[in-house]
Amino acid sequence: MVGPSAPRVERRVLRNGLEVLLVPRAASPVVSVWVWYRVGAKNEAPGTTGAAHWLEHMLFKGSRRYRVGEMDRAIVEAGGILNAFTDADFTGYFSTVPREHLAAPLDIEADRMTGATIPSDEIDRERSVVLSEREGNENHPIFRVEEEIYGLAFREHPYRWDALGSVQDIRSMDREALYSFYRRYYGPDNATLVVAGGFDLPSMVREVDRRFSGIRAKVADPRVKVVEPPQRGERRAALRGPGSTPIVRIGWRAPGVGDPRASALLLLDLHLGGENALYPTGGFRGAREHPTARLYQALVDTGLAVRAGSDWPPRIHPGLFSLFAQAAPGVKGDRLEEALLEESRRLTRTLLTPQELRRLKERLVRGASLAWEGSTRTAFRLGFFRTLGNLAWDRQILRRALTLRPTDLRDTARELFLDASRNVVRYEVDPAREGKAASGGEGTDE
Amino acid sequence: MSRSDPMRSPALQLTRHELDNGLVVVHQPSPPNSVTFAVSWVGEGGTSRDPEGKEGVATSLSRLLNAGTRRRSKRDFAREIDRLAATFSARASWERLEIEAGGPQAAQQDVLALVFEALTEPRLESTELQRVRREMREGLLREATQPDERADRVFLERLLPVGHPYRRNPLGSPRSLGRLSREDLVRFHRQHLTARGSLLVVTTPDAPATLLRKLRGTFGTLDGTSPRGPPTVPESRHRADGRRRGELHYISVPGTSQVEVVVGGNAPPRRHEDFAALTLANEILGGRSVLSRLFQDVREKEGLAYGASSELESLSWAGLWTADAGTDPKHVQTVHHLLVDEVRRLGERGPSTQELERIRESFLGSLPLMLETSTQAHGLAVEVGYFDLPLDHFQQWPVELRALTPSDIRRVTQEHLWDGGPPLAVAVGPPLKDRHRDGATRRSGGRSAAGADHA
Repeated sequence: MVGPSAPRVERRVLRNGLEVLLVPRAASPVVSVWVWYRVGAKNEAPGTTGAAHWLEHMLFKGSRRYRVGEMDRAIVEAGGILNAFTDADFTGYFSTVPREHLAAPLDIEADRMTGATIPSDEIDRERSVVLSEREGNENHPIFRVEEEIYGLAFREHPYRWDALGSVQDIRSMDREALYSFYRRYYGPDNATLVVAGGFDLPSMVREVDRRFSGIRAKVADPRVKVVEPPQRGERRAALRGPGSTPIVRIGWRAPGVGDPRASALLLLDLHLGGENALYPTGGFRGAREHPTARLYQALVDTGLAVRAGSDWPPRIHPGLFSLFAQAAPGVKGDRLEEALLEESRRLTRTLLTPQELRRLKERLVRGASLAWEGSTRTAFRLGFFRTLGNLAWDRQILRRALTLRPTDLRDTARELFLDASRNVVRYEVDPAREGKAASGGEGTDE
Repeated sequence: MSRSDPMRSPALQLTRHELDNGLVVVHQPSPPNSVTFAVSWVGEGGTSRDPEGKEGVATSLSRLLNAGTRRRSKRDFAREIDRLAATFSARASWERLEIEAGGPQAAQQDVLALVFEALTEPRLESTELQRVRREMREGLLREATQPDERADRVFLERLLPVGHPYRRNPLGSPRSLGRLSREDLVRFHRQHLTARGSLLVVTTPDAPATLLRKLRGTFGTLDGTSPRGPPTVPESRHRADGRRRGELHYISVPGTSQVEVVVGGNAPPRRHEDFAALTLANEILGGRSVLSRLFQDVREKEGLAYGASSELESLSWAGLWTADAGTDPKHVQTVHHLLVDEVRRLGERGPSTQELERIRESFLGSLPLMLETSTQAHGLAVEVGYFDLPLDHFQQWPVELRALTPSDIRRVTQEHLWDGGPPLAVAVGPPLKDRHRDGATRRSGGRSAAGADHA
C-alpha cells in the first residue's frame, strides 16, 4: 500500500560530499535540475535576518562564468524556466529546460555553488527589490498573522523570524554580511543535486562529474544548536489593520519531522484541515476548501467562517502546529477563537471512529499516487524529502501512520494541545480602515 | 543528448467531434508516460450572463457545483473525490463557466461520471447558497481593502462603461447577493449548462473512438441549447474620453505597505488577426519571461519592484491588456512612467530584430514544458476548443510567429496597446505624502522616466 509509484533513483555521493540524485525518464521532453542547500533562515542571527533569502537573490547576479543577467538569459532563451526559494531550513535553486539544453542549468549550478561574485553595485538595487517583496506580502493580513505567531511562539530559536527578514535588518545589512554567509554555507558538502527528466543515465553521470567533482568541500556545519526553552504559559498578540474580516490563528509548539509523533501530526493535520502535508497540492496561503475536514465542518458549514484550516509545515526542528480561520462577515474574533479551541479540545477527549481513521490513512496514501508525475515535481519532492530527512522520509512516515490507532492520535493531541504552549494571534479589522465593497460604483476616493 | 521535437508530441494531435446532442468534444492524447488524465466542461454561462440585478449568480452556481448532487451530500461528494485521488474545481469567468477535473488514468471513468453528475444534478441547497453568499461578501470586502485586488477592480470600472460584459464584478454586489434565491440558480443552471453551445475537452490515453463511446451514455444524454455569441459590447469609456488619458488615479487604503500600479487598456479578442503579433508584443513588454522589458527596467535596472509584468487576456468578445508592478509609495510615479514609457517606446520604435528573435525563440522553446503531463497539456486543448481555433493551431504556431517582423510588433503595439495615447493607470496603496496625496491624479505623457518623481 505504501509508495508504489515512488521513482527509481540513482544516488551517488561525490568525493567532495555532493550528493547526486538522478531520475532518468526516457520519454520526457524536459530536464529539471535542482540544487538544495541545507541552509536557510535558521542559520541567520539577529541583525542579519533575511540574509539567506537576500543572498538567494544575489546568486542570480553573476558568477565567475556568468555576468549579471546571463544566467537568466541562458535558461530563458532556451525556453526554460528558473527560480529559487528560501525557507527556514533550506534554500533551493531550479531550472527546467527542454532536454537538449540540459548543459545550461548544470553549468549554472556548478558555477553558483562557490563562484558567485555578489557584485557591490547590485547590492542596493536588490535591497529595494527584497524590501518590495516583503511589502507586497505585508499587504496580505494572513502574512502578518503568520509572521506574528512565529515571533510569539519562539524567543530563542531562529524560527522566530520569517525568511524574508526584518525591514530593519534588510536596510542595514551590507555586502560583507551576505558574502560571509555565502562563504560559510555554500559548497558541495552542504548540498544535494537532483536531476530528473529525459536524459541518458551514463552520460548524465559523466556530465555531473565533469562539472561538480572539482569543487572543493568547505562549508561550516549548518546544524542549529539552539534549543527553544519550554513555553510556560499562553501568549497572545493582537494586530489591527485593513482587511475584510477578523482572522484568528492559534499555534502550539510541535515536534519536527524526525520525531516519532510526526505521523500522528500528519494525520491530525489532515483530519482538521484537510490538506495532505506530505504531498501538498494547494498554495501556502489560506485553506483550500475541504468539506470532509473537521474545521471546515465546524466553522464554515456553521456560518462562523469563510475559510478554516490547519497547518503543520514539516520542519527539521520543533515548530508549530496551527489552526486558523477567517470570520464570515459580522462574526467576531472571539467566537472564532472559541470554536477553534473547542475542536482542539474535542480531539483530546474523543476518539476518531475506526472509519474516520481508515479514510484518513487512505487519503494519505493516495496522495502519493500523483506525487511523482512530471520531472519538475519529482525533482522537487526528492530534494525536499532528502533535505528534511532522507530519501525515503515520506514512506517511513506513511508506514508509521498506517499502524496508528485512534488512541495514538488522541494521545498525541493531548501532548500537543496544551494551554501552556498555546499562542494566539488575532487580526482585527480597523474600523477606520474597513473597506466598502467596490461594486455598485467606481469605488474610488474621488 | 537527443533533441525533442515538440511539434510531434501526441498531445498536439487534437481531434474535434460532435455528439448527437450538439455537445462539441475535443480529444487530446495524453503525453507518453503521463499517468493522469484531465477533463474540462466549458459552457457560456459566465458572469456576463448574470441577469440584471442578480449579479453574482454565475459565480454562486460555480461554487455550488461541488456542494453535493441529488445522489450525494456535499461531504459524500468530497469523499468520492478523495477516494479517487482526483481533483475537481468549478469557476465562472466573464465568458465561461467551467468545470475542470482530473486524476489517475485508472479513475477516468468514475471522474467523468462525477463531472456529469455535478453538471446535471447539483443540489443547490439553500443553506449552501447562504454559505457561498457569505464567502462572496467577504470577497467583496477583501477586494476593497487589498491593493492588488482593488486596483484590478477599479481599473475595469474606469476603463469599461456600465453594461460592458467584462465590467461586471463576478462577485456581484452586497445588494444583488441579497436578492439571489435558489430559483435564480435553478433557472441559470437550466439556461446555461446545456449540451449545445458547450464544450468538453478530454486529455486521455483512450483513442477518440473509445472516448466517444464512453461519453455517449453520459454527456450524450445532456440536452438543451444555451445562448451563444457576444452580448452587447459598448465602446470603452477610456477610448472615448481623451481627457483622462495619461492620468494616474490614486486610491489610498490606510495601513497597507505597498502600492499596486496597474496600467492598460482595450485589446483585440483571441481570434483577431493581430493576436499572434500582440502575443509577442506582450512577451517583449512584460510576458512570462524575466527577459521582458518591464522586468528588466523596473526590477533589474531600477530595483523598484519585486515583480513587473504585463498580460494579454485571451477572450472571445473583446480584449484587455494590463501591465502592473507593486512598489514603495515613494516610487509610484517613477514606476508609472516606466510602465507607460515602455509601451510608448515599443509602439514608436518596435523591437530590434535580435530582441524579437530572442523572445520569440524563448516563447516557442517553452512548448515542451507544457507537453510532459496531461494536466500541463490540457490547457492548450481547452484554448483550441474554446476559441474554435484550427486543430493544428499549436503546430502551426511557430510558422505564424516566425513570419512576424519588428514592424509588425511596432504596428500592433501602436494600434492596440498605445491606441492613440497613454494607457489608463490606477494605483492603490497607503496614503501618499505631500504632492502625491490621496485621490490625486497625475498625468504621464509617456516621456522618458529620467528625472521622474522620486518623492
